[in-house]
Amino acid sequence: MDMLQTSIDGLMMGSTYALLGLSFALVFGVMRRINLAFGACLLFGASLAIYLEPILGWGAWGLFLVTIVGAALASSYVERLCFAPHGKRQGDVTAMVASFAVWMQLDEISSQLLPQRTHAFQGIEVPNFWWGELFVRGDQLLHFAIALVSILLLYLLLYKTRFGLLVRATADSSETAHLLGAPVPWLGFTIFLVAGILGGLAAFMILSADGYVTPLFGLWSTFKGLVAMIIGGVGSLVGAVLGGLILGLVETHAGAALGAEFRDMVTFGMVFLVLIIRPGGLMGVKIYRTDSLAQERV
Amino acid sequence: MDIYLASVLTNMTLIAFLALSAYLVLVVGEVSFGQQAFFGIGAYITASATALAGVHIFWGLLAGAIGGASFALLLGLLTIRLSGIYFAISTLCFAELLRFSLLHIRFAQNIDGRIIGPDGPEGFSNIRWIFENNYAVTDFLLLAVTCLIILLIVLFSLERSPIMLGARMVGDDPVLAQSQGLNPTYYRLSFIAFSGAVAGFGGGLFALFNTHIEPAMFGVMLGIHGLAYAIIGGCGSAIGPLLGVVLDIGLLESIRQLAAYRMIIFGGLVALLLVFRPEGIVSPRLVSRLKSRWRKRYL
Amino acid sequence: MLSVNNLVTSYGLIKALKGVSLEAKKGAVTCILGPNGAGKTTLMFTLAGILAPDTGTVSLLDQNLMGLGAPKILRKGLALVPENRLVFADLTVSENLLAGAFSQSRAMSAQVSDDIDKMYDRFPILKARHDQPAGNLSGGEQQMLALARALMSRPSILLMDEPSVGLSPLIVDEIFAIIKQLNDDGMSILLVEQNATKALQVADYFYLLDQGKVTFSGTPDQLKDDDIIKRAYLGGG
Repeated sequence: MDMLQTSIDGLMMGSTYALLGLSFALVFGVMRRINLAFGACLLFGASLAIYLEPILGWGAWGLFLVTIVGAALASSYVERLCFAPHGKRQGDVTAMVASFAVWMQLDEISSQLLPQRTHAFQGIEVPNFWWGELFVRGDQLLHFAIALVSILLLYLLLYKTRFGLLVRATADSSETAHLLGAPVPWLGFTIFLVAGILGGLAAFMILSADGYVTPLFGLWSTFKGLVAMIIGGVGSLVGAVLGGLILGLVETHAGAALGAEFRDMVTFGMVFLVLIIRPGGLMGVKIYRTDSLAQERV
Repeated sequence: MDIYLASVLTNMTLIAFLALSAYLVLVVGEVSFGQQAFFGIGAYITASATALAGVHIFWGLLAGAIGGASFALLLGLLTIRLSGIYFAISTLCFAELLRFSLLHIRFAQNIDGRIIGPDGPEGFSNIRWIFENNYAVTDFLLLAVTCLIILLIVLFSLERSPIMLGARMVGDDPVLAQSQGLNPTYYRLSFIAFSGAVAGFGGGLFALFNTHIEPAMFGVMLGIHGLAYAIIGGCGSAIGPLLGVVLDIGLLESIRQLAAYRMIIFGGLVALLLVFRPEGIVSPRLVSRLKSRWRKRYL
Repeated sequence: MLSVNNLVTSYGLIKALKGVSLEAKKGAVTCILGPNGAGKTTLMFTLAGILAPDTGTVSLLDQNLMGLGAPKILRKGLALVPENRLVFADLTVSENLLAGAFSQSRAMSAQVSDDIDKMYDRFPILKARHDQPAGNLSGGEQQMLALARALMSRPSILLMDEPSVGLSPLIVDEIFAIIKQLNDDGMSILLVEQNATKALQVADYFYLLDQGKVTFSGTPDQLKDDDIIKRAYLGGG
């Protein structure tokens, strides 16, 4: 029974990791780039939300809205400053490095907004309940449902709309998509926006479940998202979801069995092993990308 | 020289070692988020050698450098097939796993009434070699700066050698380098090991200066700062990372009122700078242009 | 129909095209021959708007194409079937065809699905595989897909970069039969080919490109002279 309880908790946690991983996978899939400032954008959204709360007085819904909008805004800012100015391929590492600088910047802006080390984050009140012998936290179940719905909506967006086809074609080969008339730069911007929204949603859910936010949240969520994406296979959307769920499960079980300290180490160890043994992740993504035009190193 | 200024300068010198170690990895075309682990390993080894085994700091520091190099080489061998973001994340994991191991090493001895030795999360206290041998703060600064200068001389003389040229070629385009007959793996491993040595040496100095070290000091943020300085300063020459260190710490210390907003300004400036100068301030292109101008004028 | 005048394109300091002038007449199959490295693909990419030229003019039906990016050039009626096909491997065949219509506005969606049906009529093998990922198709099938995809944008002129590369002789015959058929139906085609024999069977006019310059031009009959073929493939002279 304990195993089942832990697994349920793990899946709940994992569903939020899945959203984080999806954000990274979307950006990497379409643009072949990593936004290291991602977590910092989420932290900014959350910090802005808490900062504005007394002014707006909208309670939990205010936090929800501002976190998402703040994260999306920050994400767009990062795209404009760090990603748009740098050309394809040679600019990939520079863009990542620039995002790294803005990560530092956003982290400090967030510290300015929330000067104390810990701030309360009041989520939506949902009653907890017992399902037979299993204890289910109401808010986590709600978050799981929201995550599921978001993933479903994302799927519909990508596979049933013209926009989605543009995105997937660009992810497959941006040169060919450009040749066929796809507005590749505009797509890049929009994808960052979507990633920011998804991330903001995930951030709201994680912080509500925890009940507080600390300055380390930026680094933490960036790392979790990257790990979810890597376990699943870099750039693969299905992989990101699976990776997030697996990360949640492994982490929760490790924490239950070995304690919180070991829990993080198990995560690091697992990622390291994945990278050494099967860098392509669950979905077996090729880590050397062979484009017809050239061979690119990821 | 007043003690405060001496400490600031010493800290800059020690961080410079970390920044230079990150730079060495950048030269072969990779980004490492894990140099702080080798810094930490060097610190612990030098501390053990000098405080536990009573060895002279020369041998202690050498041991720290060798320790750093060995672990770096191990990492390099494990990640031999990886590059880019995969390599970067694996360095982060490796560093955290090492730090975790340090949290669990307990070998504190009671020597002459003092507790000396690694004591898990409590750290390693009483690394008192420089005090027991009557080194003033300014003496140590001189020692640290001298070591840094020696390292810089080595790096500058390497700049024009086939080794550095080959390494930069590998960093730029490993496929092209291979077609020219270079073995990218060989360069990668050597430079990663070298970077570990540099970080380990710096860590050893850090342990001696601080007299107390603990695993929490060698976390991700430390490595990220070192990396930041190397990237911002530019990887065209060893001067780059130094420039990065001076810019950030110098700025921090001199503009006190802005201290709280330092990263906001610095981070934004860096991203902006990269738009116009993608390879950092001291970029390889700038370096070759300056070199050819110097050559034309003086030769 | 398509006039190119003194086109110069460089890669950094290297001039790949050193002043190319040619003309592709309406309703004709114009062929560009030349050895490797002559600049044939550079020419195609420049015309399609992927590479920006240094100087020169390109006009299609008296419309200037210079300085326009690939999407705009596509809308003006110039479609390129690139070397190595470049299909979207993870997308299905039908999605690849839809992608070909990116340049058409949303309002044309009815027309787009009509066009897809027409493509399926012309290329029955694509219809059979319509919901398979394009990566699963054979080389020849991918070439057909790339061709159909280019046709989806309703071009006035079709550019093809080495359609025979990597394909077996039987498939190459099939592809060239389709090219002939398209031309018979009125499509203007500008073709780059290594396989001189096959190309000259369908060409109305040809140009020889060597080291970034046009060294010879004429009709297939004029090519009966062996000397010219030698010049095309050994360069110099």
